[in-house]
Amino acid sequence: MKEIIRVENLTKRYENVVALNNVSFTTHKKEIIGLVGDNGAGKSTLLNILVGLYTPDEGKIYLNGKETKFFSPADARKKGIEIVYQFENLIEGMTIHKNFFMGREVIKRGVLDNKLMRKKSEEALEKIGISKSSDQLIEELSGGQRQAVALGRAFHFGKNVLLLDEPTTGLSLKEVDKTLKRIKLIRNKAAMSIIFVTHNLRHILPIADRIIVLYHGEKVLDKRVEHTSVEELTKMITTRIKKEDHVDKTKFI
Amino acid sequence: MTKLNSFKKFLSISEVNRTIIIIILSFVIYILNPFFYTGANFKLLATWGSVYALMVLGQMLYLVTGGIDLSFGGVICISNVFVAMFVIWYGLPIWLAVLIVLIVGAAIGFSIALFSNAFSPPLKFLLPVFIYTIMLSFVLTGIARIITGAFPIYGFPDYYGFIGKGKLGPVPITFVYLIIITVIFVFIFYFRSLGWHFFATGLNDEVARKMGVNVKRTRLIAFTLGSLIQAFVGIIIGSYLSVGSVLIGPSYLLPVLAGAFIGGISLAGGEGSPYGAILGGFAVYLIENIIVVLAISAFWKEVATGLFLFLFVLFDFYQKRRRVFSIKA
Repeated sequence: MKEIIRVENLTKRYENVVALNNVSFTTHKKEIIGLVGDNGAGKSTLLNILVGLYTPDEGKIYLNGKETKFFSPADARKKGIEIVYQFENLIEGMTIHKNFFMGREVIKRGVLDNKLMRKKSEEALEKIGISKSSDQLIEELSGGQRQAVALGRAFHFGKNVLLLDEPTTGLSLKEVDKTLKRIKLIRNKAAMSIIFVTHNLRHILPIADRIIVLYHGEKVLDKRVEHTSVEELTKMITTRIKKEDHVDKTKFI
Repeated sequence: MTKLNSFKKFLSISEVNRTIIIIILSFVIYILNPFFYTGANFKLLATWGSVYALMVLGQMLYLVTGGIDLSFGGVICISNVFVAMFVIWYGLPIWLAVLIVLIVGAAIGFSIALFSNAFSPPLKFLLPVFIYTIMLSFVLTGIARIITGAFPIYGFPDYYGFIGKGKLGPVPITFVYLIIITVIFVFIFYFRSLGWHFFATGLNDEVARKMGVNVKRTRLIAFTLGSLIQAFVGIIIGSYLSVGSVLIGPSYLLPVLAGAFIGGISLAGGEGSPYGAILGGFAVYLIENIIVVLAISAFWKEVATGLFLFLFVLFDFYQKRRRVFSIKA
């Protein structure tokens, strides 16, 4: 399977605290990776580096085999990296189509092409199974629908990597189920790799191909889902254990 | 449906309601004193209503992007004094004096955005804007007083008056400025990406930044244009009165802010329209006009403006509350 992103020895420090210590991993096309860990494990730091909000102190990032750096969120987006946060993905007071295309507006003959943007946003939402008028305001949507709009936008624009930062937190069971189905749909329809950050193993295990566990900034486990168990993962998330025993040597096929 | 939506984009229901209230009000005034609907009073309304509307449009650029401009009285003050100083004391051609003053006005707006961007984050954006524009308001008015010794500067050539008092046919020139600037506003706000970025920045700058909007640049543009308009207003008023005076400017602060809120431009940011700004500007001048037309003591002007503002904002709050409850239901 084609390699999409490879990080090598990524390290990030905040004054005396090492938030990320020598982390390396590779993601592949159409692969869903569950990135799990307790609070302060380094998940958010890793996401923020990949999305261009933080610069790593050490280490390299390769995108489609070429070394790259993400200088800003706009730069990361240009390079095909999309992110869906737990909250605050969308701007209330604006319509779906404006939220969809904000920062990437379509201009035709010097003016905004609202007609095309409306059509494209509705089409993208339909592809992941949600039918909404693009003129609807964000505050009129439920939590799950908002998450769907953010996913639809990432699906429409994402080329390489989709980062999901706790996208199921705060949703009802029904909405969690729908969101997970949409993530699987995106995996099947797009050529991206998906990194799904979560605390909740029940949400990630049914859809992930691989699980990476971070503990105090270090990668302590990297295994295919079928080679691990809830018990092992729980232990790795909560206790420091020698990491060599928990890194899967199996190649992703 | 799409046509209706694009119409609603320009004219929200709340703006229609505001317009109706103002029309009813002016009709009541007409019944009380028929002079209200005479050509002479209309000319006055068009001239000064446009000046107030221009000030509210300038303020709107600050408010929509999440700021507030408390310095514009100072900008208007220093602008009219500078033009008088350059033209009457130093003999500069009018066009050059006007150009220099417009550049100074734009530079003041630029500096406000630069300062506020530097401290936000971590501070909430409104805080540095508030402090810096209060400072500027004092400093600019103070500089104008130091320059003039608080005496008015007279002696403009007659043709300078055209900038403020001129006419195109029967139409006052200030109304023509308003039309041109409104067309530019509508184009930027509704047909260009920048308009989207203005609203997004004011509504939620953090999410807008994540979406790839250059929030700092957006505010630099908005504030620079906002203060440029205020400098232009300073020139217009100075020209209309044919004087450079420190008394022109500071007194507009509260009425223009009231005009912005009457026009539906939110202090919370991200809300407002050029039409609302014009409506607010005209409404504030209308109150002043009514006081004159009905020969009521000028002391009642503040009371009337305050109550008018309260009425409109109350109406707005009520509508918003109803909308939020209907969404939750």
